[in-house]
Amino acid sequence: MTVSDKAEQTDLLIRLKAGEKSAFDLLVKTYHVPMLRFVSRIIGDAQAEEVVQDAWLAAIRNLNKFEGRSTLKSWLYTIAANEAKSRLRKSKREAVVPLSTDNEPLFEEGRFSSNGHWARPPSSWHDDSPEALLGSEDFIRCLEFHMNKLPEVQREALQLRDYEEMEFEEICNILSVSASNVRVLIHRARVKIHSMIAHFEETGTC
Amino acid sequence: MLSCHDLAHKYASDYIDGQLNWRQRLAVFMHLLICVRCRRFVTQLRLVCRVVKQRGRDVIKGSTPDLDALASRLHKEYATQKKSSSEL
Repeated sequence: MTVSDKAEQTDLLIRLKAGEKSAFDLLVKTYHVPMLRFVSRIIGDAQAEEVVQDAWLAAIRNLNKFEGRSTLKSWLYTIAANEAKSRLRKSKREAVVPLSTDNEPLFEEGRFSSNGHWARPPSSWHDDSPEALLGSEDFIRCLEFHMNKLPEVQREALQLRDYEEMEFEEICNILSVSASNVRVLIHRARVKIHSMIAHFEETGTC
Repeated sequence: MLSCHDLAHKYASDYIDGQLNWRQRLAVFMHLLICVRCRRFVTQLRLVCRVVKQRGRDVIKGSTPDLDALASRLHKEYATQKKSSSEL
């Protein structure tokens, strides 16, 4: 069984509140690894497992108070994100990048002419599938480097949308930002990764 | 008329994600019909989405936590919590 839609999530919530063991099995099997991946992007692999364990305990403690206003999935991700950020604050390693400080131009100077057309259009790529691109260890290292270089909130938004395939409303709840900001964050993150891939395709270097 | 600059800066991701209203969507569609450069950009941006997704899948393969033990622990924790709150 999967927990793919809202009705299934509501059913799972009822069974969890009733204390059904099989519901806890399904909950953990469905969400643990995705939460781990999400959290490791915020805090790093080394602490991710511990943070997710703490997030689970916090979720269980608050399970009876959760009324299902958001989906179970976005509730769990919100708790996990809060745990990770609180851990970061404690370790004083947090590099806060508020939305307003990411003022870098989206494209390098000279990409567009004054009439709005491409002056230097995107060049074609040799590799046109994820499998082909991710087949190179150098490419993976470069991608990880650039993903980690993204401002935290951009990275989270990109991951929630493109990997977790969450709806915009859910992403807004988890990141506590408006829908229009989420759309800007996702676009900026994608364009930065696009620039990285374009550079890698052109030069073979990161 | 929509420019390449506008499409690349403002509309490309929203177009991919289906977040444009019908008027904006039509404007992007018409632009893409005549602009091979923007068609390439949008195709490559879609590929970025697929690369992020695939990379997430690859990362997941390397992880093998003991999920049964964790589920049992959480179940036990919840049962204990429920019992103590009913005794209050």
